[in-house]
Amino acid sequence: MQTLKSVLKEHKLVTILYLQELALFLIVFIPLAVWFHSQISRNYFGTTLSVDFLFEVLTKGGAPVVAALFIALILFLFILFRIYLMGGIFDALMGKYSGLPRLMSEGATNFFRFWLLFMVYSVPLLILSGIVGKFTGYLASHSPNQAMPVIMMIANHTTAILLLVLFSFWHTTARFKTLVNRRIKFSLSIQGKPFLWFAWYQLISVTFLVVFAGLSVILLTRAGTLLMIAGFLLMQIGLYGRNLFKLASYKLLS
Amino acid sequence: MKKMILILIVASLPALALDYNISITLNPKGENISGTETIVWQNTSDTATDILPLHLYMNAFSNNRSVFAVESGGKHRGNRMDEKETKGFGYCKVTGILLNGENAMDTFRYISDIPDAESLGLCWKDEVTKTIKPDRTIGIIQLSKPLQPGESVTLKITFETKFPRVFARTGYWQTFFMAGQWYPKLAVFQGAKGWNCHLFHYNSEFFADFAHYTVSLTVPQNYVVGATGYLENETNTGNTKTLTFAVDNVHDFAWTAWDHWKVATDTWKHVKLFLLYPPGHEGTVQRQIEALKAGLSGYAELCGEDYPYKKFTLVDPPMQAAGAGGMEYPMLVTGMFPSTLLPAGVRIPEMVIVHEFGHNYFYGMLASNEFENAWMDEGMNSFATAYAMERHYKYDVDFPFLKMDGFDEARMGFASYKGPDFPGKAAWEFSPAGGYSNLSYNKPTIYFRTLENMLGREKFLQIFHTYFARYKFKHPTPNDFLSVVKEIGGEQAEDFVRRMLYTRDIIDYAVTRATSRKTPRFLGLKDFKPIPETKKDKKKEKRKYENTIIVENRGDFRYPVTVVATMKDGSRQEFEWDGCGGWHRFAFESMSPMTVAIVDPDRIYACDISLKNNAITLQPRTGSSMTKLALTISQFVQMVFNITSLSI
Repeated sequence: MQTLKSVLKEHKLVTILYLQELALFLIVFIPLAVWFHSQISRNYFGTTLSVDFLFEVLTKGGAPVVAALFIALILFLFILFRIYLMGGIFDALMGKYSGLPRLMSEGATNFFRFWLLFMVYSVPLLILSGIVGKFTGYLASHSPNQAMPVIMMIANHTTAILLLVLFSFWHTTARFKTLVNRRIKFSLSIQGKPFLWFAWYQLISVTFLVVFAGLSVILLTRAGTLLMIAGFLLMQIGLYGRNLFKLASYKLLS
Repeated sequence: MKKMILILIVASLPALALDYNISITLNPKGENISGTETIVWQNTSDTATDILPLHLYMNAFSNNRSVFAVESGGKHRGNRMDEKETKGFGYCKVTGILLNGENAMDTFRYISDIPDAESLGLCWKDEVTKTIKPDRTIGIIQLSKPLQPGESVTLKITFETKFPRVFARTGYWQTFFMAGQWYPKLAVFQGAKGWNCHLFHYNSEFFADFAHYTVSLTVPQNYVVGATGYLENETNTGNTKTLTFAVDNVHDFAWTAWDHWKVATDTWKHVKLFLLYPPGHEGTVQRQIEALKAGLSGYAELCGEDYPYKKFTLVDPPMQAAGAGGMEYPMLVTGMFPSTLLPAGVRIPEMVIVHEFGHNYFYGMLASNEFENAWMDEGMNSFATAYAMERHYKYDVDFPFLKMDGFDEARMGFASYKGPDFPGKAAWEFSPAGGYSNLSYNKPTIYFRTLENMLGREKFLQIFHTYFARYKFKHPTPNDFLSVVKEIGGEQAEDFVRRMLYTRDIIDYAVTRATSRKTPRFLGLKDFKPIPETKKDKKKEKRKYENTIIVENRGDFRYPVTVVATMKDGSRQEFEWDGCGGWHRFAFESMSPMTVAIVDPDRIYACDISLKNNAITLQPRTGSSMTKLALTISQFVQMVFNITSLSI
């Protein structure tokens, strides 16, 4: 709780992290909204919106490919920028936040080491997840029991989440050690209390995201404008809270 | 009453000139069957014949140079024929033939072994190319003397069929077997037109004569079997059991055997329903049975008569054998249930079940030639599927934010087609670049819906009722159907269907201009001097709006259409246009400004190729939906970022 309070005091770091996510939202939302609105002005779909709109307008020509490439590129750039940002945020978490310019400069200093660490931990994670997926896939595809694919899917996802928690803890610990030592330092050690906090945060995060995925579809599509806004705000507040817990779990390592 | 119906059905059936008596043993380890088949055929035509052609469809999978393998590129509905491992290949080998008791094996040749096969007149000239060989999907027995009209012949064939690893509707997976087109099958003799016997093409399906079937299957004791026909007898011998099925008046026989099958039963009116499903699919039984009943009811309504047989078997193959799914046989079809997690709002399995069941009408009883006129089974049946699904479920995809019926799917599919073909072609005549599915399934679906809208449901149903009553248990041709359309729907209806089948003619109405502006105050001269405007004039004047709508007929049909203008205050103005002359202008005044001008607002012309140009909206009403859509996608991107950056 004390850790949470100390992070709350440094709410600026949480805000910076959240602002990046808000920026991502806006960068996708604004062009999409403008494009969609332009596609209904003065035609049939401005009066009646049916599934034909998807086909006759949104998927016409190369639009889906362009939109998908645009979103993929944006996601890639934002992940790079997140790694950059975390270089500065970790530095501030270990000491004290001394303004955005300092945070950005520390981010630049740590970027390549953090990038390398990200690769070092994410590649084995992907390989291991792939092996688990292959194994569960094999069991699923060879059993006459058609419930087996569902069981194996749950087993696969659970294992993947557990692996993710484990690897991301090592990754985070390594980032702290790297900053302390000012050189790349790998980590395989697990410290009890921070790990539990970390595992708890990650599981809550995943649950939140999965639950919200379903909830947002209902809120955003079924309801009127007010509920739509409520859904949007709920999501943003949730993301802010999630960042708060994320930094608190990191802080425990320092 | 039930008895009387059955007596009437039986009495209405033509006398059968063909009889199959088949006895086979399944060898699961060898993935094959072997046995004997006795075919008794009577030449009921007025023309003699000196050959007997047999379809040996399973040979399409015996090498990678068969017509089927080359045309398909070894792929069918997303499944691959594994060309590297010949163990997974299949074949149907004729090992002995007795013709009226005498050995006739010497006279038997596979079609690709006959040097001048084209001279037999079995296949169309454009159907065979010299580069596609060897194809052994047809075998020819040469008769020592012509079989005269009225004469019969008895063939006793011993054969072995090796199943392919499940591919293109048939085959094995582990101990599962789906047997379709598994036995030597006599082609259809059409008298003076000769034998109708095509090669097995990638796009094409099948054509056969109605017959009496008696089939004895010997399988391991622990196997569960589902089959066409009625179970007449079951005997146990040691580790095996023999099941004998018999049925009259079907033109094919299919079966499935697996030691893991689970069985659910139900009834619909006089029909006993069997569902064979794999373990783990218990939770889907209710959905599948409901879909089957929806099909039974929907088709009875459309065709005017209930499904006449007393038994129907639905097979839900395991997903590892998905290639066996979605296929029709008389009294037995295979569905497809890809995952138990499939939401109830995604009614794709239901749609497949309704569609495959429906083939028992459009293929099973109305046994058109699937090789030459795929639209007569697939096209009519796709329309009937959408019709039955709409009657029972309303939508195929049913979520609060996305609703889609079969007609939507068909229209979207057809509108994407830009090729040169039309539906009235033989299966192999379609461009390999694609179009067969779109034109055989989608185009007839939305054109028939348009016809229904144009004629009204009652008259439209009368067409299908008459067509079914007149041609059930026969081999109707396109002209048979067109003559019924003309008789009931009139010449315009017949012309519409004919052009749908044999041309690329489309319907496309468009609103190309819509304006609404306040009527300008009259300005002019009195005695060549300006009229002064008084304050009173200004106050009292309440000017009307001048509205103009221009509609165009960009399609090929000249049909009347309705144009509707909606004003801001909710009032409407409706106009009729005969669709002739290319374009038409409507000008009118209103007290409130026009907000929307729309042509064909009730979507009578369901096949209109572009909906987008059907209206001009001066004040869009769907803006908030667009915002919601953009918001949903953007939040999903946010969520994806959050998941991918969990550990960063």
